[in-house]
Amino acid sequence: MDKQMIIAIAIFTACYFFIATEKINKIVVALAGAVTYISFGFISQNLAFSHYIDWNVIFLLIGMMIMVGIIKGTGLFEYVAIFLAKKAKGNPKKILLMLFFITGIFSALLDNVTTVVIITPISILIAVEMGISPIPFVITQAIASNIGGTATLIGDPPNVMIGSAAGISFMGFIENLALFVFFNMLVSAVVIYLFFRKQLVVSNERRARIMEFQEKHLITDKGLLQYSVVVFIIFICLLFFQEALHLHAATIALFAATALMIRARKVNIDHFLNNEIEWGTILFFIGLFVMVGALEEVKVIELLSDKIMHITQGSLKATALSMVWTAGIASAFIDNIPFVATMIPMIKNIGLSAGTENVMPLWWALSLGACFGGNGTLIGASANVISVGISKKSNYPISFLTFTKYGAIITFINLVFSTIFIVWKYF
Amino acid sequence: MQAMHLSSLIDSELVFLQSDLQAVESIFEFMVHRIASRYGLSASEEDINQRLLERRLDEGILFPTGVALPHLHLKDFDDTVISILVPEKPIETEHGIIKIFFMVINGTKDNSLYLKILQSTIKLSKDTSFFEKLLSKRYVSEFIEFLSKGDFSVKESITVTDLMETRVISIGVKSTVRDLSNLFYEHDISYLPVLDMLGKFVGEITLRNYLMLGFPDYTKFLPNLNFLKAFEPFEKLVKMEDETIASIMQPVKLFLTPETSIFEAIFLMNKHDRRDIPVVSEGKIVGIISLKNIFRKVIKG
Repeated sequence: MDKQMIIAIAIFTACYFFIATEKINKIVVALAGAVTYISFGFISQNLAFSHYIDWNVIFLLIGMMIMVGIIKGTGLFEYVAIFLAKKAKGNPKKILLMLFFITGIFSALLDNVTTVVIITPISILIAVEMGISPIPFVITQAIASNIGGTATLIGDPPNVMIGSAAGISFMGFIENLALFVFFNMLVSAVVIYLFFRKQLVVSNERRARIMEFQEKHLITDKGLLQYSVVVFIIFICLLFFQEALHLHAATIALFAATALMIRARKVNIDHFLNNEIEWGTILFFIGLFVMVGALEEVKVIELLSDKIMHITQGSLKATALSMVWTAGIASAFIDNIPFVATMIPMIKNIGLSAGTENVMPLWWALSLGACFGGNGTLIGASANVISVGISKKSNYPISFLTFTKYGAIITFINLVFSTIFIVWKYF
Repeated sequence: MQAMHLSSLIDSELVFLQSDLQAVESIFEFMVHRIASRYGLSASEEDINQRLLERRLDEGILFPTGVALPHLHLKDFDDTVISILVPEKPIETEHGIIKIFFMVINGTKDNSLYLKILQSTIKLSKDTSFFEKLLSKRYVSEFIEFLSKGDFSVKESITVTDLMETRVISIGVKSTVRDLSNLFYEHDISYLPVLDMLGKFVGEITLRNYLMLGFPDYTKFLPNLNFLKAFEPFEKLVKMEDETIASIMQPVKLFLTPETSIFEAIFLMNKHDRRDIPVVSEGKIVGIISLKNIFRKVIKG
């Protein structure tokens, strides 16, 4: 290892430390790391911008943010939540499970944080109207969003990054992960039922209050809603035929986003672009891509991936299984996005010697570990932090241990099944 | 903005010193009559008197320094006329003492000159020694000459001191939400500063803050609440009646100093979406400037 490599690793470790401990805003850390690497010649700006920043990821995220920003304003998701609560005849156990599944499904189509920002407030309201604690609802929905997001290319940022880097299409994720994720939803639903069933008892009078809701009033602009749903369905269909169409996911997302913006032109587009696109998240990704690019340039990634293969003695099976658990445990404590960003070039590197086709299980292992791992602790995923934050603001605080108690058990179960799944399906 | 001297706008024929008229109504009538006979106004004198008297003295006409500024916009009138009347003895009204009348009549097209007149008049009345000397002048030529010596051109803007409400209604930290609700109701106000036991300005509550107490936080994330029929957010408000102000007050996020210009005040109200902003001097609240105040005194004044 030369001096340059050591310095590069030191900078990277320092940035990781600040991101993990949140001593400094993570966006600032990622950008500072990127600028440091470029300024001191670890990587040239040209190379960083042209080769290492994955613009497909950036624009897929931007496109999704625009789409979601427009659709969430239509009241559709709240409508569905209340519709289901009424279908369940105000039975709290049924409502909890229905909301668990619908959160998983929404989360597979939207990003996790957006899903919980929409679904948590309406669930708290439903629980309060039923006269029971909203806490089981908040916890299970955060968990559902992390599990559900694993199912698709667009469900969770790690999948967006993995799909783009490994050239895995939307269908690729569906074929490989969707059924398995659904199975995990079912198993988790059983566990959640066992956890919370005793708390979910409601009087008839309270049930009646739920039946009094008039969800149709949530929809204020029916025309925009219909248009948005049609565009979103077209978006998903195009993703299904992505390979035949020879289109990248980012192009499809931007196509759908612009189609929605044309219809939503009545609202101030400037205001919309400023508020609905999370520029901080976008800059965070850009910073991370450059940082990881610098590590690649100075051959640290190569060194580390060789080390990994050395430890697992060249066995891809051992590597895949340790990937599930390493990614799972790491993601329970730190942001899974920087972790996945670092792992991606390593897997690519292993693919150079082991064969691109042969490392496919590693990609699935990384995805399952990183996404499921988010449930490991309260701080494992942004969705957890955000939904618990909403709950706290509504005077229903949830402690780290309360969340983690449930989250860790479910994560453990998910990771055990993932291990079995990887071995059974790919080796 | 071009500086214009107040004295250059004054028509010496319309300055009346040591007037023995003692009723506000008759003074208005007299001044209107003199203006009308000199300038031939489009509206009838009765009509003008009627309109002047409709406005209550405390709504932007009478200022604490003793200046009354009755003012009227007339359609089809293409000039600005100022008439000045100094009563022999200050006139006492229920809203305060009047030492001098500045009646301003102008057209409907341009309001900026009126604002300048308003501004410089208030300014001169605040310079106590100058103001007293001005009032003691016995001859019109002397009066105008003295006025022209003062530096009352219109470079500075009106400050919040000129327009703020100085009779501040406040609430103590140990009062209850019930008291709060009563104060808002009785005084028909939308902002209450909170003072601690020593009279220190420690917090604030707006009418909106008060009403939002009834809404749980999670409702703020929803697109609308139309779907709720049975939901009663104000149940919670009733339950909170005995809580203290200390537990619900908001920190003071924004305040002005007395020297802040009125334009800055309006700018900040718009920027922060506020209707009222407290005016603070040396840690004490000395007034409240509100959109309503500015509207009544400047725009309609």
